[in-house]
Amino acid sequence: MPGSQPTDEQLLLSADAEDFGRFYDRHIDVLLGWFARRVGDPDTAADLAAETFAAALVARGRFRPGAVPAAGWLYGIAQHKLADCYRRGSADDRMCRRLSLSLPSRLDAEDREMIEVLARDSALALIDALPGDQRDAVLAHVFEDADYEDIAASEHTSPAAIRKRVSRGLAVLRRRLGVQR
Amino acid sequence: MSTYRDLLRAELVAAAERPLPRARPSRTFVLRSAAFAVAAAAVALAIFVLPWSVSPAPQPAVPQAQLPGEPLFGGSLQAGERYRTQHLVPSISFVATGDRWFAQDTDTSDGLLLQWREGRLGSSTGRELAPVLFLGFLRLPTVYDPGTLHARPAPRDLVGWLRANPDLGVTGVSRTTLFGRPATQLDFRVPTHPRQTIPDCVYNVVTVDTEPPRQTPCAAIAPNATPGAGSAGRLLVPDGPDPLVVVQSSFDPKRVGEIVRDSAPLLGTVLIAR
Repeated sequence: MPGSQPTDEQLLLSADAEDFGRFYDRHIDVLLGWFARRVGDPDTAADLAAETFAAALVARGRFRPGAVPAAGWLYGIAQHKLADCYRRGSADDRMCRRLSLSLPSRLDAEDREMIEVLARDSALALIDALPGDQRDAVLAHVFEDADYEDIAASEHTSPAAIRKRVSRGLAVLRRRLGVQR
Repeated sequence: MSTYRDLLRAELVAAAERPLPRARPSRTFVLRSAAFAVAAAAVALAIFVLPWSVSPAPQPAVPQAQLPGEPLFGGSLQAGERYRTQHLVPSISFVATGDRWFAQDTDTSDGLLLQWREGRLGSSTGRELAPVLFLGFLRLPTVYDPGTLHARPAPRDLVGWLRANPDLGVTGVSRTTLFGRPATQLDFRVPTHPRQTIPDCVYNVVTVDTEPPRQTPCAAIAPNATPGAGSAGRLLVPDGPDPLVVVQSSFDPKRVGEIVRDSAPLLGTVLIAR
């Protein structure tokens, strides 16, 4: 239909190879930022993003629309790759090798900077969308590394209340990251 | 525009235009599965040591196409949901009886590893739950040749081979049931310093969620059986030709009882395609 945008699910399941590229375009920046915030290293984040999309390409024939959004499905793969990376100490490249993808072993300076920016921007954008009390608590505890007791003192409340705000804020962020389109 | 993003996009689109290559049995899968390693060892020991006197009450055969459940992909599992594997041979179906099960390596035919996760991974930026306990379903077609680390077909006298392997630490053997069949239960504890380990293979073990992971080497038992040094657990080996053994393990020997307890309800829901 002229003017309408295909859904993630349509792009993922399309037989047109370029549609997988469009699916990639929609998610690569957030996924790179998602990985970079967790592993703290742009090269590893790039490797994990490549492996995630390669796995998605291999497995997309098994994706069934309905139960989970395509983006949520993609992040399910990403979580798997991340857990594997933590356990191995490095990113696997099994799916990239299976698809014979030819990628650089290390990023250049521009790409490293781009991924670091994505990590900061995407995290802050998500945190900004939290309710005010949760946003302030998460920023203070996670970004500024402040103790619960110190935050509680400045907010004139109890450490338990701050702990709850941080916990709820992080839970919201996890949910949003898991299904974000 | 980013060079890397463009290059990766071009490679993926080009790959999407090609027929997908067939999956090969994964060697690395085993290298990364600490729990599975022990399972392999247990198989041999059980066959060698134990009598086969219990009358079987086998589970009803379920054709693969009729296994119930949602297709299993890697990632967190939804409590109460039934899943069916897509690549494991034979296929199984099970219910995720808890809210912290995580499926790993769901695209290989030799094994399936489920993790029970809690706490946080050690990185200050990481917010993922840490895998602390493991439940594995494993086949064992090959073993490592002692001294050379070359994979070769599992020996005919697998039990004898395993018993002679100092990197297996079976501490107890008893009888039990698994999937409605008589089975052998083997408790094990992998040595802290295995004699033979896999080069470049380490596990990042999270025992205290506020501390960085510690690294531990992988004992070299078989390509899909490389338990972490110092890990412990229990192997359940069904009698007869059933190829799947079950391993319940932890990097922390004191927590083996937890995975045995927490995985029992899930094991009670398992259906196997015949």
